[in-house]
Amino acid sequence: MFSKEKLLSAEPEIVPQRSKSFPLAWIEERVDVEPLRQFIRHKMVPLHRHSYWYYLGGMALFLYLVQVVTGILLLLYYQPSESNAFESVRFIMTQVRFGWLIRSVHAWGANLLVGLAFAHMFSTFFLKAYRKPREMTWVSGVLLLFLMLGFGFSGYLLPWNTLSFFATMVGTNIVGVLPFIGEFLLRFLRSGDSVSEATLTRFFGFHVAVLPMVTAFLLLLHLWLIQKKGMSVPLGVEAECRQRGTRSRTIPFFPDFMLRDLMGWYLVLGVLGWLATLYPWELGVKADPFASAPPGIKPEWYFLFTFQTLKYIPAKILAFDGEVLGILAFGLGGLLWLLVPFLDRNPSSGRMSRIIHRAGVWIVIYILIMTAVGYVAK
Amino acid sequence: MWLNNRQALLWIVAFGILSAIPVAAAAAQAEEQPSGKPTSQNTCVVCHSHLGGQLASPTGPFPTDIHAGKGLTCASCHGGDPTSMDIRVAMNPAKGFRGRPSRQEVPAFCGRCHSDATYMRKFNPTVKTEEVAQYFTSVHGKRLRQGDRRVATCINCHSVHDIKLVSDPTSPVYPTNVPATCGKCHSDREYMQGYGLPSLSQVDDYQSSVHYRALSVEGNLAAPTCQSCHGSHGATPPGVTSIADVCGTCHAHNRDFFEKSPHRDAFASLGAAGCVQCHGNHAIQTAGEYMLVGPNSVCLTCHAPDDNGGQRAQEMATSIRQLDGDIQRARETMEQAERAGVDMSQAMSELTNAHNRLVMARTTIHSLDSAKVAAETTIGLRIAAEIQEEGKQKLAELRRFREGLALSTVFIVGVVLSLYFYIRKNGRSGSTEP
Repeated sequence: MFSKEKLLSAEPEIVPQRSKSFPLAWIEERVDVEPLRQFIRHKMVPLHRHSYWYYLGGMALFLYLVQVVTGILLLLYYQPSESNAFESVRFIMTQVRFGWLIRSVHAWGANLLVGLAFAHMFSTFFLKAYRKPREMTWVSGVLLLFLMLGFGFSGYLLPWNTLSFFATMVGTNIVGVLPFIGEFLLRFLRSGDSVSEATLTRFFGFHVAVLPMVTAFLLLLHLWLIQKKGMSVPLGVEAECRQRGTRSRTIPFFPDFMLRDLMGWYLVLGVLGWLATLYPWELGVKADPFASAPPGIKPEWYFLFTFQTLKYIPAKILAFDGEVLGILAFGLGGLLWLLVPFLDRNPSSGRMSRIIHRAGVWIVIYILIMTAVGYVAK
Repeated sequence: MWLNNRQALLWIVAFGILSAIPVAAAAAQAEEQPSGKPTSQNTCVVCHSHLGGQLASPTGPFPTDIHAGKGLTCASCHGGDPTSMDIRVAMNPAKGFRGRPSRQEVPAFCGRCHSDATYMRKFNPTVKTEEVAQYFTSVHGKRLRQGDRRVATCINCHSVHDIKLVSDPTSPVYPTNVPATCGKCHSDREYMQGYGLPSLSQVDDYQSSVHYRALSVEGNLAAPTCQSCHGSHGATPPGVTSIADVCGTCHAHNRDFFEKSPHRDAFASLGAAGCVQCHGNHAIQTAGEYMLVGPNSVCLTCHAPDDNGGQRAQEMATSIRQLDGDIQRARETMEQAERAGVDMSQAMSELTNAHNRLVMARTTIHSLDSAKVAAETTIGLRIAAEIQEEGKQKLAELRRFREGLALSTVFIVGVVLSLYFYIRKNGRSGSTEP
């Protein structure tokens, strides 16, 4: 005869499980989320004295999400035509409930996003985070910054006010002086010889379809590479650990790093809320293509250093057009910047290239000075 | 035969003078054309510029004259042969030389071209050519024909050899310069003696007027100056019956209301001029409700406060003042909202509609019908009230938003601090692997 204990032991072992809430249980019955759970549970990120620079990327990502949400809300009312663009933005700002706040958040968010993207890029540069095996993370990040600038340039025209109209005219003119492809680029960007309704429609298309699509792809690639290769540890911290014979300290991604990131997101949200509410983005005066350009027309602040530099370049340098040389120099500079991980091989072997590092310092100083000069210049 | 010393000296001097003339002429011509660019010879300028005094005076300003700019020369007006250095040929009546016209001849002198539509069309297809004909309908033209040499002719207003287009700000007939140009004679007590004009303060009066402020301060070149009411070439004082038409060229609604009002016949029976009876003529001030009621009321110069006219004036003033006040309050609310950062451009544009009603209500006063005035003000009051309400709502929304911002800031700061202390307590030390 079998005892009661034996009978019980012959039954399959029942593992007591924690009861799960409805949606989670429902999902887990259909999708195997265990690998994801394991990934989150075991994901570790380095913790050192420069860790706070990491949060800039997360803050930029948060702002990008804010831009997507507010952009979609604006899209519900915005009309991309010469006769309606300005009026529809005015309608959003005056008639739509909280419309002015959404538009203001979108405009301020764009500026903060570009600022944070620049800060994130330079922090990555100076921490040499681009070194092997993270070259592609750097390249995708720089391309994302270029895309953010493209967002800024195309979005600036959409309210169709005087400043945006003439800034677009000046900006596209600059592209037009390039040899061989300038004429084509000018006509491609403007969709004609001059800035017109066709340009507005085209910029709208870039702003809400082409750029978001490319950005989504690059952003996923960037995030995937960060997850795949992990976060880099600065050279100095690595050297100290080597000396001590230890590895860099790490913390779990969830919840430790996530909570730190969340703190940064909240801070950005607070700053954005203050700026948007206390300094609502102005609409200006509707663009009049037949009016003369207002004096002192300037591009957005993130293009100011290039604009100001082009103003200082002499009309002729030897036999070449100064402006063309300037634009080519900026293009070459951008390309070199994109290829920094491949030009600077030292950090990959644990050493620091002083030339590249100093060049980076001078580039930051140059950008800051020329932006300030451009801001105060008439 | 040998000449004696005295004769020889005389011959040398004579030869020297004769040979010096073409050299001097050539030198003068070289001065005239400093650029060295060859042009057709104009001996009028060559000689007159070296004659000095009044005979040389036209040569100085003429290059800036509109006629010179159009390629005309001295000979185009004065005739003669400008290619000859010989005075007997250059200024020969047989060569068409007309010389300087007398004052009586000036209109016809200018009109030779300016009354010729075919000729003038070459320069401007839309140019008018009836100026001389109009001039002779003016008091100036009539008196000139009667032999009065002191009246204005073309050159008194347009100048002589430095004539500019009317659109040129340096022209004496450019709108902002017209009062001074007319005032040159009409403000000169001594010069105007004997003409029996009632007053010589027209220019001073005009310069104190709302019209002059619009012209000089606001830069509105369409604002009326002397010629807008009196005519330019056909300048004449408007008669009693035509005053409403003169003012009505700009103030059309006011004229129409006045023409249909009881005032028209009443004024006519009294021999009183229409508009100027209440508004004055040259020193016209900004009209307002002060003209209806109060110590400066023009209505009360004829009406008693309690008669029908006085009561209508009171009703009209009350409703217009109410609209004016409401528009002011709505504007203040909007400006307050705009200063706070709310876009009120659409409301501001709508307020223009209320202001248009105010203007129309003030215009409708000329009908003397207080019901018509009230009809305008009622619409304006409704618009102003809507905008006032919208402004208040925006301000209230802004206040709520700021309160919300303060609350959300407290929340965000709370969350950030909580996270900070939580991280400090639980997640500060990371694991270090050997």
